Amino acid sequence: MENHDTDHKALKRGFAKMKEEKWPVKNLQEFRAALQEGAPLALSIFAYGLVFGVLARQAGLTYGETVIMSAAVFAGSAQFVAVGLMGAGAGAGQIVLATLLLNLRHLLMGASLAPYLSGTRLWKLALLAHGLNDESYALTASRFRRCGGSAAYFLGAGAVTFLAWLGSSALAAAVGNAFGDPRWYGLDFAFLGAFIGLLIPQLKDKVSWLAFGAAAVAALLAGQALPGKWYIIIAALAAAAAGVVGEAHAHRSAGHYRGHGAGNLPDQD
Amino acid sequence: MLGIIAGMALVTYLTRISFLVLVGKINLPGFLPRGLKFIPIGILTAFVVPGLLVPEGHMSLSWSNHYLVAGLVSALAASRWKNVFLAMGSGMAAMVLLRLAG
Repeated sequence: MENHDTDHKALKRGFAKMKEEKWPVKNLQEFRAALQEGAPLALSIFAYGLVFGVLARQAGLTYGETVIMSAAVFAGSAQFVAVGLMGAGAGAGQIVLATLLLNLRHLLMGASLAPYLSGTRLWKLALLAHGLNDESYALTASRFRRCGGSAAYFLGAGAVTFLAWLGSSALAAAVGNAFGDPRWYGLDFAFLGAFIGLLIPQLKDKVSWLAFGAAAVAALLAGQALPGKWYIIIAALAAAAAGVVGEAHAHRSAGHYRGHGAGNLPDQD
Repeated sequence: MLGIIAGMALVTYLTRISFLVLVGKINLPGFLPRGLKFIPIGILTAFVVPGLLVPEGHMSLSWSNHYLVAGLVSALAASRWKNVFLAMGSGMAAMVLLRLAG
């Protein structure tokens, strides 16, 4: 009985040790990696948030309302549209509906990260969800593709983007834009430049280029034909469809021409 | 005003959490997970390509389109160094230089 107890305690100690030492070290590393890799995007968000803070005050929001909106909604483009609609005297229902439509792209982002986080507890996912945005998604999806899933990385990406957005909109709402036109510093290009830096390393085989081409055409056509952010959803679906078809085709040719078609296989590295 | 903000926060949070939780809990038919792998490329492309080719609401495929030129600089830097900070910094520097020159 005593022996059993000791074993049990030793086992418990072992688990406790694993929990206290091994996992936190890895989690801390993942969290730090997210802060480092997120720094360029945080800079671009910071510039965007400065503009938002100024516009929100001009549209008649108080300092407190601006800060609460940035913390609670935390969705750049939807917030810009909302303060624009408020300035134009739109009703509450219209503003909330516009917000919903602009943010439907989060559904696809959530769906694409979910398979990596299937072991994560519900309350943790509930917390992580608030940190999901264009930038944290781009960071996290590229990271998961390279290194596998990590809730700590996703948390870091959400935190760094959240602080950049909240900090900059609060600062600009308080003091106005003290930095002048962000375009003088090339900051209007920061977001695009960072996204190019995340996209290019993912284009490493024929199938990923096919997905890129399908998304590019879909985004340009849907951007002309549809309002709002539908073009992002259409492009994501086009990339997914092209990827599935391209992979099936590559596997089939690999089966028929073993040894000749191998160079066309995806994931050859 | 706070009511509108609460409504915006609620619908936005629902778009964030719903598929993040649901897709992990249910078994998907095989082609869906295979398709999900390509969603990051699709979303990044949806921001990058129109951002470079249609910067101010109309398509511009010329050297006078500063976003396109800076984007090519970023893409070269990204494929050379595979570093997000360098890709972003080189494009921003190109943007500043193009504006000073033009």
